[in-house]
Amino acid sequence: MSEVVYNRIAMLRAERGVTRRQLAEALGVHYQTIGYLERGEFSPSLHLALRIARHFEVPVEVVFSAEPFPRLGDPAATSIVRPA
Amino acid sequence: MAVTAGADALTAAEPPAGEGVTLDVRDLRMRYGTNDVLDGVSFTAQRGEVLALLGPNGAGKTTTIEILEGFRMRSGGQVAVLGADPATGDERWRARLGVVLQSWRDHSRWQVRELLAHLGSFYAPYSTERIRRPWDVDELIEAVGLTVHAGKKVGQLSGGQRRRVDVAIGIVGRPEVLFLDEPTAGFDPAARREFHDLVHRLADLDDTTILLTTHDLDEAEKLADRILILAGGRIIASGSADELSRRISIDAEVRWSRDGQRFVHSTSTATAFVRELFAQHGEDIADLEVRRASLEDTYMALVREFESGRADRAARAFEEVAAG
Repeated sequence: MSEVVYNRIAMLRAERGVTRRQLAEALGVHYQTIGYLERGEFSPSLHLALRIARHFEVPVEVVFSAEPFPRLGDPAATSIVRPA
Repeated sequence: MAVTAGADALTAAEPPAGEGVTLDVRDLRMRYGTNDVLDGVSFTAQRGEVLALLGPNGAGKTTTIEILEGFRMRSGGQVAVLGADPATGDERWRARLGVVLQSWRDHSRWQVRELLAHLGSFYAPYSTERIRRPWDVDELIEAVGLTVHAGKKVGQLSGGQRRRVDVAIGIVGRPEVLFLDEPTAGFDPAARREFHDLVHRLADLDDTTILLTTHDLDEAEKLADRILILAGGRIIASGSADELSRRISIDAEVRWSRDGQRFVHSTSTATAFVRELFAQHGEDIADLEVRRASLEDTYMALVREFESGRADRAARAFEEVAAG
């Protein structure tokens, strides 16, 4: 329970216009599994996590984090990207 | 077309290709205008075998069944059903077949029991030592789960109950070969289960050969000894659900939990992955699950593979024409 992995799969998927079905087929998992991953009910194996990142062509830390992702528009979020 | 028309006249008198072969279809062709709906379909079925015919809409499933039933004339190829050519089959031959069409037959003003007793009476002259025809009407009504509705008019039944009447009409003559065109459309899960039990009973106990079409892949997997996938007028794959799944390499999904956290992984080598998982975490691993490709995954992959192959061929033909 302590090892929660946060992810932004749903956000990336929406942004790229990819359906759950398409992502499931690209990764070789069941359709419902994408939902489980997005809601954090399941964590991907390291290998699967890397494949997800590669699928979206982003570094793995853009998709996964040990800390909750800051909300979009949150001033704290910009401060992370551009440290004062 | 390489069909030897000369040999056709003798087909009905010829014994089937082997002992117990009830359906023998070779190079079946059907053309509507310039459109080849069936382009060389071949398959056989044994006594007591259940075959499921799958395929996209318009693949020719219903056309195939209608040709085998003798309702539609083929353009080419050889067909033997119970040793006879459906195009020239007589009443005696027809009495040994059962047919459940895709759409309802309307007998709305008849009572269920009355209707089945009446239709059954036509089969009595074709009763044999081995197969007593027709089916006892009350036993039949029980077999299709309509006992409490036996006295009702067909028009008062629900869609699923009416479909059961269709099935009962199809089997009232105790057929040796039964054709079912989307038999469970409109069935609730319990009715579907009862229907599956009935199909198993007909195939296993009465040795009935059953050819059915369905879009319910779960149903095909449960019922069929052999699945035929029809696409582009040909059978692109056939085999048991398990055999078909081994033709296509689709990744398996592995799920497990460790320290109360749930994980998922996707791999083409599930056994090796699980071995590694236990080597690493031993007894910490719980809730292990390996989910292989479903028949739906396999079916979609096979049809897609076929369609992309066809697109490639068309593109090549186009290039050849362009080059020439």
